[in-house]
Amino acid sequence: MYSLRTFALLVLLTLLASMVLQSVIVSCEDPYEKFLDLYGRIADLALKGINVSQYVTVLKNVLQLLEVNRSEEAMELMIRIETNLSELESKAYNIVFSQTVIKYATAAAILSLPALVYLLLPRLYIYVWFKSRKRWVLINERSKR
Amino acid sequence: MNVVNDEVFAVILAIVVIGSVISVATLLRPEVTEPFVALGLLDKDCKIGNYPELVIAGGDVDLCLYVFNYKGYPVLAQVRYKIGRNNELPTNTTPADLKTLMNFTRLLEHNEEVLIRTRVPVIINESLVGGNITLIFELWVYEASRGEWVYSGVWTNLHVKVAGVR
Repeated sequence: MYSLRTFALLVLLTLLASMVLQSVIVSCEDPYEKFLDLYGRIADLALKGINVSQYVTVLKNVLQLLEVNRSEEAMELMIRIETNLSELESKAYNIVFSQTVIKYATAAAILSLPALVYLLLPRLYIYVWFKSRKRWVLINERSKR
Repeated sequence: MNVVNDEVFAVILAIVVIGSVISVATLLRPEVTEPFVALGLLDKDCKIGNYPELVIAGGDVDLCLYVFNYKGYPVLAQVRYKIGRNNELPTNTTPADLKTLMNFTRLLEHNEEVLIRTRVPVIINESLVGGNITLIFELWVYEASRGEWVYSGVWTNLHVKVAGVR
C-alpha cells in the first residue's frame, strides 16, 4: 500500500515537473525566431500552391504584437497556429497532387472540345432540324391542281 | 448531304480550336511570370509630390512608404532607413554601407500593397548643416531558405538640404 502511494506520488511529481519544464522551454524560445520559422514554413507551403491566407493574417497580428513587445500574446498566437500548420504540412502532398490532377483534367477536357464539336455538332444540328419540323406536313402540289 | 454548310462548320471549328487553346494556355501558365517587390517614397499625405526639401538636424521628417509584393508568395519585407551623402547611395546589387537608423517590417501577401506612414529622425553630424544629405530607404526581404535578410536591390531616396540644428 505504501509503495503504491509512493509510486502515484512519483508519477504526479514527474508530470508536474515535465509541465513546468515545457512551459519554461516555451517561454525561453525567442518569439522573433519562432516568428521567422513560422513565416518560412508558410512561405514554403505558399510556393507549393497551397492557400495560406488565414495563416498570413495571423502572422501579421503576431508581427504587430512583437513590435509593441507583447511577446507572450504573440507566442500564444504562434503556438495556436503551429498545430494547424503542422497538420496542413502533413496534408500538403495530397493537396498539391489533387490540385494538379484537377488542373490537368480541366485542360484535357477543354482540349477535347474541338473534337466533340466536330463529332457532335452535325448530329445535334440534324436532331434540332428534324425536331423543329416534325409537325410539318408534305403536300403534293400536283395533287392540289 | 452536308448537314451544316462546310464553310460555316469550318469557322465554328476554328473558333472552338482557338478558344480552347487560349483557355488551356491561360490555365497552365504560371500565375507569376515576373516576380518582383516594389518600394515607393511618398509625402506625408501618402501622395506623390509634396516632399520636404529642408530638414533640421536632430528633427524628424514625416514621410510615407509604399511597399508592394508580387512574388507569388507571402513576403516578409523590411524597409531600412539610412542617411548618407550623394556618393554613398546603394546600387541595384549592393546596399549602402551605412548604419541603419530605423527599420519597418511588414508581412505582405502576394499581390498586396501597404502604405507605412512614418516619422524618420534626421540623425546627422552638425558639420553637415548647410549641406545636402540623402535619406535612403532600402527594401530587404527575408529568405527563409537561407535564414537571413537579403537586400532586394530595390531602393529609393530623397535629397534634402540641412537647414539648421534643433
